[in-house]
Amino acid sequence: MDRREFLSAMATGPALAALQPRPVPKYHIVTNHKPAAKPGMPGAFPGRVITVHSPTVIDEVTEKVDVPTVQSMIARGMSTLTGDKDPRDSWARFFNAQDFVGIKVNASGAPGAMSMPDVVAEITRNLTIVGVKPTNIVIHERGSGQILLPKYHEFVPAGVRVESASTWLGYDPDVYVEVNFFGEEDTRSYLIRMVSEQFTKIINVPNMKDHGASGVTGCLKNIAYGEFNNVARSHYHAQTETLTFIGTLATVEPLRSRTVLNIMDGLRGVWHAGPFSRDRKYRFYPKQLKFGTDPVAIDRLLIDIIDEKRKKEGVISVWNRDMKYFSTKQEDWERDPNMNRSIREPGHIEYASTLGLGVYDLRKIDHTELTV
Amino acid sequence: MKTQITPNLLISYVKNLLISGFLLAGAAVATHGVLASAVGQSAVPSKLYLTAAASSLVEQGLAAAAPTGPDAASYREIPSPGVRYLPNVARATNIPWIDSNGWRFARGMRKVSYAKVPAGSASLAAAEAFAFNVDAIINPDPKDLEDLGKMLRFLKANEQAPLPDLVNIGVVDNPSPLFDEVLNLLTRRNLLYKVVPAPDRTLDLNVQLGTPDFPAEAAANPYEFAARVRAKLGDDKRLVRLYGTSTVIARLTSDKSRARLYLLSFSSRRQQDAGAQGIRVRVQGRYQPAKFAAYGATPEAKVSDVRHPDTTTEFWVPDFNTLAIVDLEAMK
Repeated sequence: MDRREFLSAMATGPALAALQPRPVPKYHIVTNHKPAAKPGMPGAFPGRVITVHSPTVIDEVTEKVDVPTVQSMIARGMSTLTGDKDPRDSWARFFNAQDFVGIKVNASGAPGAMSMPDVVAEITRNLTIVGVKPTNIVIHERGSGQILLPKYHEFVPAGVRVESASTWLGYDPDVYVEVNFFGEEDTRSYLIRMVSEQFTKIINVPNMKDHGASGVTGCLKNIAYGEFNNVARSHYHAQTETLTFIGTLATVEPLRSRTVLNIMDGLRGVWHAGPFSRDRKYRFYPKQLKFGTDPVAIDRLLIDIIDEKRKKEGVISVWNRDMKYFSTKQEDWERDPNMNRSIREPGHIEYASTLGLGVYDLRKIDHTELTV
Repeated sequence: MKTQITPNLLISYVKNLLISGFLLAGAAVATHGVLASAVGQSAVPSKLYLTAAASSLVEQGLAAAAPTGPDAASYREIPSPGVRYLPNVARATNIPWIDSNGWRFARGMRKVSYAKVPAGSASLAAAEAFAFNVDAIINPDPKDLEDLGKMLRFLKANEQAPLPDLVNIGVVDNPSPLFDEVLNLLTRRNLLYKVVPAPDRTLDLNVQLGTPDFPAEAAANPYEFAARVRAKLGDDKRLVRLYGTSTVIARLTSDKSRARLYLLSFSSRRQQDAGAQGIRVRVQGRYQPAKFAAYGATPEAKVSDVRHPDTTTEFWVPDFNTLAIVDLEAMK
């Protein structure tokens, strides 16, 4: 299915009766990087997702995380993903002593929702076990404000750095996507320079969250909107361009080739009013981690997790495009989970599959679930 | 306040254009494959005058005392520049609405009076007059004197004989009351234009209300009209593009061998906070940056990551407050 066929199919789907998708914008990708022989996305294990559950990994009242359980979950998840007996061998498949690793966290809802510091700390610990120097590990976000809230530096080994585009290297003038969505003047989104000039590998650590514009925010949105600037312009209007922009950004080299591992933090999540978590009543506790190299396959499963939670709460689906549930007032959609602030585009995940980023079809996703 | 431009003034304006600047700038930009033209400008730098409210700055020699009597009458009162943040209909965010006088200057106003300047705006008024090379009387709020003094020192340090404007859009003059707002939007969109009495074929685009491309009714929505002008010209042909800001207005001037780019920040917090990468600039033509001067920037601040894709020059401009000046030398 090519992009035009995809949109044609979307346009005839019953869920989209209220508002037709916009045509695919004219994207102009500029990069001086070539793809790796085997790009990190979808990587070594297309379509494979390992979900590790634990009923005791987080206390729903205190939100305290049980670190030994996290360690067990990550060990089981990684070894099951690769098929190795020893999780050290699993990590060694991806990383070695020569690597400079960026860990792309999500702190946009911190402290209520974020890539948990305990999870990120365990990831850094495993990297050092396979020889990556702590000074060659950088936990990062695009923006400088939110990344400070989780206090990652208090959890990770000495030498590991916490940086943003504002604090280190800025943006790469030679890697950007140019597109004019709505007549905006600033039509470029630049890649942060850490990705293009420093990192040899990237681990993507998103959260399980609802998103008012893209429907859900998982692996794809975290790596795309989190590594490029000037992305909010895609959702300044009721009908957004998140459907195609997220996947398009994720394909840009070297981001695509260097993002070799996705670990989705689902210890807690947000089922409405995301990506932030200003109101605790919209938080929930899936108590799981998902592992894979394929961001599309993981995100496909995420849609169902968020939507099932919303169904359980008796509110509209993330697929609902009916304008009667739309309000321009922030207080409306923050107060009422049956209100949308934009026409949600969870279809961005299927769209990304058409760009070769992974497997969307549930029948083709090899999903293994474990409990520790 | 309505701008008045007489036929005689227009004729003089066009003659001036043809004689003083057009050939030079045409030669300069032709090497870059861009049809641009120069707007006639005063051959001397703008003069800034201060009212009695700023007599201390006059005594320091930073500006002249404002004229009085009949001399003062020749200065047209114009609004103070600034920015307002208006609600966005679709979201809970506000969008900036720039109040710039650039369009008034484009219509030929050369002597102006900033008579009512709210506190916090005097340095922007001075910078605007300087950047557009007009003579201006400024009546500052007493709270602004210290900042205005610093700005005037900065302007003096960067004074030079004015270069002709570079524009590649001609907007055919029109008596419609909407015309002013159309020009205002073109200024705010950094679509570099001049007002012409009739279409000028040396330019990349001529905008004439009432033609099929630009029907008169289209001007009823200046936003859409500006978008139409932008689409007709094409972003690739724009003489200046700014990435990373929606509150900066550019003025590009050039002669055969060099160019000077003025960047005026109208942001309510005119000091940006993006470090060395405040704004990415793209200028048509191949240049090497020769000098960077910016109010509020550190002494070591400079443009960075200079690139020359196709026939353009791109670079980052670091943080600055209110006004940045980039001097460029044409590459051989």
